[in-house]
Amino acid sequence: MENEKIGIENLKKITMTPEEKSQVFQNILNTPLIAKPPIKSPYSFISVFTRHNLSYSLAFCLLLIFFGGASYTYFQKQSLENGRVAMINKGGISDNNSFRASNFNQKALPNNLNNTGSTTENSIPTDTKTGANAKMSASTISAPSATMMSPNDLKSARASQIIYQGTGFSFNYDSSAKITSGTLSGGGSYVEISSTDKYNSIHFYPGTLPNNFRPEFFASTTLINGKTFYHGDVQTENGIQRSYMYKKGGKTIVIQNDTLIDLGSIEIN
Amino acid sequence: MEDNINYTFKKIYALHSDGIFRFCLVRVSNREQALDITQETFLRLWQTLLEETELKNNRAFLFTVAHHLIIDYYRKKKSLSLDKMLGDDNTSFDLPDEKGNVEFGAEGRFVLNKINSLSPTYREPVYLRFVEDLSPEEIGKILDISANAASVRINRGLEELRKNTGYNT
Repeated sequence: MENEKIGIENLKKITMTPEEKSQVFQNILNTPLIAKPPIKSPYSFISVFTRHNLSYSLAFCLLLIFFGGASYTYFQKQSLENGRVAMINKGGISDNNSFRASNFNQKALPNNLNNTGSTTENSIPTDTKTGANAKMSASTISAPSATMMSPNDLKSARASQIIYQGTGFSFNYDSSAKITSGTLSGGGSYVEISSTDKYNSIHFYPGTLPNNFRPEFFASTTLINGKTFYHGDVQTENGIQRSYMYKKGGKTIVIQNDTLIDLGSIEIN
Repeated sequence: MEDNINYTFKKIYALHSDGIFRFCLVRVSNREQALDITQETFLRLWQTLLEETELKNNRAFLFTVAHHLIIDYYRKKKSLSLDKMLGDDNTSFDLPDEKGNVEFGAEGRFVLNKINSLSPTYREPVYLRFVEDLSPEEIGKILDISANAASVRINRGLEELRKNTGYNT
């Protein structure tokens, strides 16, 4: 035990020499002190972005959200029912506002564009009169009809100058087409123009439009023969069909398709 | 203000420089390296005093800094462990008596070898307690453990040391 104490005392005698002690002291006092900037906390808000790979993760997430949203919007615009995807527009005009509808049922035409009146002659086959929603349920869409033509092309394609004088309105239509007219249950009248593979309808409302007309559907406008037409597109089994709306003096006309009608000739009496 | 800092620093340096140097020398087994670490330790103290940081326990602060600098030294010198260096006759530290100032007897070398032969957990607490006369609380601060844990390590280390030396018989 005594040896242990002696050993510890011996250890305690280990010291610097006076020269070493003086030298170290002088070195310390003569060392230029470099002002070190305070160490930034690794957990501060900015440090998280500047020091860690979290910034990359965050940027990746933001890019994912951005491109995910862009893809969703793009394919929503381009897709068909049940998530099928098809490139529909090929060099034609398209309605930039129609993609705002979140699904195809919303994109479809309002129900009151359907034939609600009684037919008098040349009745249209039932499946073509049940409206856009029913037409969309078809499993195939033919490619040729998916290509749209501009209203001006349609106008030049129509040579007929036969004037139909309906109740409250008149228009020119293709001479090869058959015409059917009737009255709407909610008031007003309608005309259906059909040929072998084409179909148009014109609904005339002398008063206020029914409430279930969605204004956003007719968000875009087209100027035809000095008349401003509101229009919107809807996908059907025959491709995209454009519907127009024209107002004059509190009276409104809704035209489904314009393949057989000269829009520029439409007049509200 | 700076005169006051100078005075304080001189006072602390005079009191603890030998202890810090001894601690470093025993750990790194190289006199020049021990002097460097000692100098760096007191340089940190000097900087701390200039920043007007209040130090509650100067000695604990110095030993803590020295302890961390020694760890850094061994991290930089990964290929050579302390045990290996101590076991190598060629690298044993320069004895003070070789400088002609202090005698370092056989008992001292014997005790030092036995302390160094302790397991790493007990080596530093035993050394700091019985050679540097630090309290368990100070040792706890230096080793970043509680005072109670430091006390336990000291006692267990002492038991192991007594078994190794045979002084308890």
